Amino acid sequence: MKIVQMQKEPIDVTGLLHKSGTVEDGAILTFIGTARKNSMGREVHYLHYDVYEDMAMRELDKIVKHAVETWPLTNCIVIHRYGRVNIGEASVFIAVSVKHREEGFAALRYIIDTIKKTVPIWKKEHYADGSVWVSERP
Amino acid sequence: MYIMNIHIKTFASVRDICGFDNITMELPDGASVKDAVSCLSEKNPELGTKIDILLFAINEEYRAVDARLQDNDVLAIFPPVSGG
Repeated sequence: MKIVQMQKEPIDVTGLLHKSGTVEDGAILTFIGTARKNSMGREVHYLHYDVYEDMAMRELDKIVKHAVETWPLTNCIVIHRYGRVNIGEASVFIAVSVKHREEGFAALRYIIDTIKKTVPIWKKEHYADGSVWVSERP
Repeated sequence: MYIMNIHIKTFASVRDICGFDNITMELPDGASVKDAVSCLSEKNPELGTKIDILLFAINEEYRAVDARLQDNDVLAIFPPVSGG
């Protein structure tokens, strides 16, 4: 099973975890990126993610396709938020189900590292007194 | 000379600099991504100063700054991505 999606709504982490695994596999590995309260010494009120949605879906699809071709993943779920993400909420959820953990760790790291390099999504941190695009921060 | 219509999309800080999120511009046949950015930089000089760090996609595929454009291409211009 593959699930790849971009969504504005909060991610149902618990619901996704319940459907991430299979009885054939010995490991479910997850990465959950969350919006943290402090960044470079400033208190963050919330995040806003801009997205080039059609291209982001294409890039996410490429990443997941490569991952399932490279490692023997039974399930692979990748969900990324856009729009406003409140502090403590998940901005990205990745889960892979696999027979053995080593392959799962490798796949998981590849997926999150590549998302951060290639998927056209931009994070803006909002503070009490302004906001900054993370990609523009010195 | 043949004129191409190029549909420009901007995102994140590039949209802030340009003041629009999409626009259609006319460029001469054979123009490159760099030519499009130079044209936009006439009104938005800050864009030109960032050309070395910007990323470009033509019809949703990453392309280099010297890539040639074709009529009705969608050219997206944006800063380094920061998802996750």
